[in-house]
Amino acid sequence: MGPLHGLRVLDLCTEAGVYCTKLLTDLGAQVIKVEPLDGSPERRRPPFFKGDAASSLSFLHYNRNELSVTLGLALDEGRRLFHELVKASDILVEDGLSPQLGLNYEAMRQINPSLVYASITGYGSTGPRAGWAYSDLSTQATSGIMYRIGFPEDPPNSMGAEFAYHQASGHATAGILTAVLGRDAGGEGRHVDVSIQESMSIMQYDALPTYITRGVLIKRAGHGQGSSGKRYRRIWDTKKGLVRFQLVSQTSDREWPLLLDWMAESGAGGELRDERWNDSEERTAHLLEIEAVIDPWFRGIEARTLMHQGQDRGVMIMAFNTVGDLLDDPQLVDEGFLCDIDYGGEALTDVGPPYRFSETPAEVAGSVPELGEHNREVYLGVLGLSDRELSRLEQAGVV
Amino acid sequence: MTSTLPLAGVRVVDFTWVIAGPVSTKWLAAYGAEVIKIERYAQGERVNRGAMSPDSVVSFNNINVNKSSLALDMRQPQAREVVRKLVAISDLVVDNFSPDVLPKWGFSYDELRAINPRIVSVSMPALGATGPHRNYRGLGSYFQARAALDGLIGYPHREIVDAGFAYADTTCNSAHATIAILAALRHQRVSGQGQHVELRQLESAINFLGPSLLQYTSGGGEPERMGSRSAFRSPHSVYRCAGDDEWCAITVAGDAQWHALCGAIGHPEWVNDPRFASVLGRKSNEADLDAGIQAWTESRAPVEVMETLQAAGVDAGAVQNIADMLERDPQVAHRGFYVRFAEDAVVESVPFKLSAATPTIQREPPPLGADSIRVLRDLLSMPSNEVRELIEAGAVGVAE
Repeated sequence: MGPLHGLRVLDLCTEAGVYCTKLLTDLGAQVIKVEPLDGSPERRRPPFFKGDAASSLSFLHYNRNELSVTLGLALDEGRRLFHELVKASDILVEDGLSPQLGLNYEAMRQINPSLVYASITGYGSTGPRAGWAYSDLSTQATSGIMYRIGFPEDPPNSMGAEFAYHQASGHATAGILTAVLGRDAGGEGRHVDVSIQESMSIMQYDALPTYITRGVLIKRAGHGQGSSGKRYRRIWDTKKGLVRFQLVSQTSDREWPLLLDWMAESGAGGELRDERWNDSEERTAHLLEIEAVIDPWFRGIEARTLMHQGQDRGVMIMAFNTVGDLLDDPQLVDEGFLCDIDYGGEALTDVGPPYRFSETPAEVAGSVPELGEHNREVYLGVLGLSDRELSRLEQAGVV
Repeated sequence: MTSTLPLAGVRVVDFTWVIAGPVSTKWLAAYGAEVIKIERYAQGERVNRGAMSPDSVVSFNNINVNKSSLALDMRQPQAREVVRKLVAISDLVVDNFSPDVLPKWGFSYDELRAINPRIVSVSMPALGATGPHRNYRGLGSYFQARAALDGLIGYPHREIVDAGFAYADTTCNSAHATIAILAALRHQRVSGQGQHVELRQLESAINFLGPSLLQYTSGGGEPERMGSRSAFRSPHSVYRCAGDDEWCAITVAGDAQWHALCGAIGHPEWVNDPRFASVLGRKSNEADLDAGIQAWTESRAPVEVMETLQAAGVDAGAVQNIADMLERDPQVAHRGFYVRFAEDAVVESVPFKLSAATPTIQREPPPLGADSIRVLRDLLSMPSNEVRELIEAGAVGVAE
């Protein structure tokens, strides 16, 4: 059982908040996905399994182990039933549906004062831009991140894999748990208000200090500009794959002789054995010369071999993985991080949980709920409706 | 005021340093937890507080405000005894050292639990306390590379873009750490049971890939670097606007937004243009479509593009820089996200706002060791002569 066992969550998310409710589910909360009668749009989100638009891998990833109920929120009776669900829940999470559904914190608080209500929206729930349309891309733009990512001659780039949505969902989850702890200590429920723009903006820890102390804006530099403004190389080609390695770092003085000894094992790097270069400022002043010696040596060895050899010798160097490379990354495989998923008889692999709890381990395997699969369990078991009432609601098109 | 904050009464022994750990405990402190930052006295301001440049001091201050500073020389047994006493009256111990550091000082989880059975201990090793790479070292930027996140940034026809900073620290790894801490504290409150949580920075970072691994293992291949495009939505890009290096992102989800965009940019006829009737059609004619949109954006300022389109219900976001955020964005100003104390003293607030709780944001953290005497005397009830001896022995440091 996860650490959040016993908490009940209503999930009204379709995009930005789906990672939030996944995190809560994996931590052991009972998460009820409240879907319209034709299913949440999330069930139709790409990517798809073998191109089949009825089999969303996104839905599989974000909704495993959630419960699904259907509910027509546009109908009076549907809204009444929803209010009963709100009374019986600890947490509600939504990501911008509220205007259409008449959902908002003030209204829900009247129904359940101890409810923790989280909204994840582009710009937050107050201010001149509350209610604006948003996407992962446009919030990355307004947050200040895109301005500095990319090559100078290209348009600004964005982070991949719906990065802004993951970031905002993480912060919403932290906010929800903060509010739950406060409530459990004798307080009331709260509104957790996450602006994706703000959430993404904290990602750049260097832009704010650089600007307010020196008036400098960090611009797109493709490869090789450190936050300090010093240019040095940090991504290197190898015989196969890329590595991260930098000649300028907090530990580079300690690592420099280790690097030379390592190169010497294969007869390389003799020209770098120069007294002057034991001094980090001298090395920094002659980076290009040094890089020109290391570069061809790296290109003769595969990335993972460089990582293993270097790290074993105390040199900080890391191989890039592609997504497929994760499947045979020795540390991840040996430590059982990856998670096997049975998807209708197909063996797929997904990522494991982001943390390991000693007493309350997370459960991330499992399957996705069919639409309305848990109507009986929730409406009878949680709300105490009778079979007859449920049949009537079904016939009336409410569930 | 503190009593109304949700985490009032939570006491944290905080060994974290650099970025990922301190960010995660900043939010606890802002919402009322008593975060006691253990700083390495012997190593002074430079290592502890990034006192290498004015930038790094601002950066340190931003993520360490509202914490207490207890300076200790952990090599000395008396300093470790102070920690033992503190652990006995705390809820949480958190660190982002390599896996051998706390055990070396006598603070493995088993030892912590022997001191305080309710203690929650959260550690954030690079790759893991066990496994073939347990001793590998890295910075945030190294984990994001190995997590396959870096490989997603850039255009398909170009090499990978280096984001240029260790974003894993300020995104996945700090957020997951805070979540782990709070979830374990909630379990502690409900059950009385403490536990150890290991947040491996690589494993944590991989979680920001979303369904990419499922896609790969179902035969969908590697995710492609897309620039700012999307395989499933169109238009979905960043468009050049009037001025030097000025841009605005525009995306369309669904027919209603598409029709609204066509109207707003003076191309109502596109609604009936068969080339653009579906997402598929727009994807295959994306070059024409993007050229048409850019013809409209490039004579307008990004904020005008954004406001015009948003007024029509279309998603648009100007590419802003930090100066725009600090000085010109009315939404950020309205929400008071940047707390400005002086020209060169700005602190970010917390990226989750809670009703009926204003996060505490101070101008800067206390000086190194500023709270040492208070912690020893008031929290640990040590007599003044003992406190003085610890200071004289150099086991405890105090602010000058």
